[in-house]
Amino acid sequence: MRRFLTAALLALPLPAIAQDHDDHLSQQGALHALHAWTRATDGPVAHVFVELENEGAEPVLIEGATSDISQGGALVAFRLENGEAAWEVIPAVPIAPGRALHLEPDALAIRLDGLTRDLHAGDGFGMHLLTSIGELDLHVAVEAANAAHHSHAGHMH
Amino acid sequence: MTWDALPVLWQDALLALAWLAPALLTGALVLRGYAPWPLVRAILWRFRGASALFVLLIAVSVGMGIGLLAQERGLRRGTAQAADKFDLVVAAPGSELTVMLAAVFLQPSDMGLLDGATYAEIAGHENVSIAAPLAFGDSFGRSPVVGTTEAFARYLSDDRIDGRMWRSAGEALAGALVPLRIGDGFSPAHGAGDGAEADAHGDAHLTVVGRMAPTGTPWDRAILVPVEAVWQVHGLANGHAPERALQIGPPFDAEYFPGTPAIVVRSEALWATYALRSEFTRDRETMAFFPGGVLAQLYGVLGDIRQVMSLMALVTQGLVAAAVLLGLFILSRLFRRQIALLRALGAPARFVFAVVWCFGAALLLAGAVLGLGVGVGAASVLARVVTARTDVLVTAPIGWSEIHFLAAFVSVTLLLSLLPAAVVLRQPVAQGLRS
Repeated sequence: MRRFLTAALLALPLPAIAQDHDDHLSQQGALHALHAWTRATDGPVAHVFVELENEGAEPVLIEGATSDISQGGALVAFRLENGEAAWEVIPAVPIAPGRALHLEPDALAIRLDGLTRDLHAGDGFGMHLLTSIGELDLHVAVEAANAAHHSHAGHMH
Repeated sequence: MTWDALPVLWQDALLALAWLAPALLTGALVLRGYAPWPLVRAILWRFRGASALFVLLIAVSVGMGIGLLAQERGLRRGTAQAADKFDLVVAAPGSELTVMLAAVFLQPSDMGLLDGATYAEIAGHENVSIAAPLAFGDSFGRSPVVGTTEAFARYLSDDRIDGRMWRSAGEALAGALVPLRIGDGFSPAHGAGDGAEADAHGDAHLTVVGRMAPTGTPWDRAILVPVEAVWQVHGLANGHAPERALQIGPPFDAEYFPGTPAIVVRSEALWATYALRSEFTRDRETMAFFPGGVLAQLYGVLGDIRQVMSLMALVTQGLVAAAVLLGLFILSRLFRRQIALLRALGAPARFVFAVVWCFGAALLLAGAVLGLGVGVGAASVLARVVTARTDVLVTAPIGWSEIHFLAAFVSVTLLLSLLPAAVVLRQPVAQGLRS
C-alpha cells in the first residue's frame, strides 16, 4: 500500500508537466512555435510574441492570427518614430527554410485588437496563427504587465 | 467615442485641461461675484521686491524640472534619428550594442569580420537594395575615416553632396563638421585618438572631392572613403580580382574580399527587413539586428532613469509647493494690517479670502509661466552642450508631458494656497490693526 501511494504521488506531477510542455510547444507541418506569450492588460490591445522555426524545405509565410478573445489579429512590425515606439501593420513575413523568426518585444508581434476581456498574469488563452501552410494553434501565456519575455524563455522543449 | 479613438493631440489637450480643471474650478468658486484685481495689484506693487523674488524662485524650480524632462526626450529622439538610416546591420556574432555603437555612433571597437561569401549572399538577396560594407580603424584629427560604398554615402546624406562623389580610391567625401574643404588633401592616421599613428600609412594621400550635407549624426564628423581605399592602405586585397583592380564599389569578388566588421543593409519594405533579419541570424555565423530595436531596449532600461528623473522633478515641485505655502503665510503677515483694516471697514470675509488667494495665485501663475520660459532656455542650453559633446543633434522642444507637468503644479499649488487665505481670516481684527 505504501509503495502504491509513493508511486501514485510520484506519478501525479507528470501529466501536469506534460500538459505544461504541450502548452509551450505547437507544430503545424514543419513550422514549430515555442513560448507564445503576452502581457497582462485591461486595455483593448495586446501584443503576442512567440518563437517560430521553419524546419521544412519551403518558405512559410506568417500572415496574422485570430483568437476568440479579440476582434482581430494583425502582424505588426516595430519601428522607432522620433524616439517613440510605433507598430506598423505588415502584410506577411516569410520564414526561410531552416530559419527562425522570433516575434518579440521591439521587433515583430501579433497585435490582438478589440480584446473582449482583461488579461491577468497567470491566465492563458488560445490563438490561431495564420500561415501559408494552415492555422497553427497556440496557447498564449499571460505574463506580468512589464514582462520582457516568457517566464520559461531559454528552456528547451 | 472611446478615449483610445481620439487623436493624440486631443488626448494631450484634454489631459492638460483635466490637470488644470481643479485650479480653474477653485478660481471660479473663490472669485465668484468679486473683482479683487485692483486691490491685489496694489498689494503686489506694495510688496514688489518680495513678490518678484518669490516668482523668480518658482520659475527657476519649475524651469529646471521642465528642462530636464524635455532634454531626456530630446536625447531619445536624437539617438533614434542617428540610427534612422541603419535599417538592418549584419555583423559577426557578438554584442549588438557594441556593433551598434561602432556602426551608428562610430565608437571604435574590436569586432569579428564577415567574409566575402557572406557579403555576396547578402548583397545578392532579392530583397536587399543596399548592402554596404563598413571599414573602420583610421582617422584624421578628430574625424574617423570610414570605408563604405557610394550607394550608402548617397543614402546617408539623402544625396545632398556638394562637389562630387568619389571616382577613385584616392578620393573622399567629408562630413559636414569635418574641418577640410573640397580640394584639400589628407593622410589618414592608423587608429583614433591620442594613440593614432600619423605616419603608419606612409604615402597614402586622399583628396576631398565632396562634402555631405549635415545629417545630425556622428557621421557628420566622419570622412567617407571608398572601402577599397581602407583595405589598400592596410596592405590588403581591395575586394576585386587583379584584372578589375581599379574598380570602385560592388560587386566585390569573394576571394579578394578582406572582410568587413559590419554590413549596413537596406530594404524597401519593413516586412522584408524583418525577413532579412530572420534569414541572416545564424548560429556562429552572422548576427542581424535593428539598431532601432537595440535603442528601444536601451530606452526601456533608461525608462527607469526617466521615472527617477520625473520623481525627482515631482519631489522638487513638492518642496517648492511647501515653500510656496510657507512663503504665502509669511507674505500674508506683511499685509496683515491692511487685511484687518479691510475687515474692520466691513469687507465680507469671502472677499478678503479672495484677495489673499488671488495674491498667491498671481505669484504662482507668474512663476509657472516664467518657469516655462526658463525650461525652454535650460533645455536649449543642455541640448547644445550634448550635441557638441556627442555630435548627435539633440533638440529639446517643450512637449505635452512638460505642459501636463506644469498644469499639475499649478493646480496643486493653487489648491494649497487656499490654506494661507483661510488662516488670514482666522486672525483677530483688533490684533491685526495694532500690528
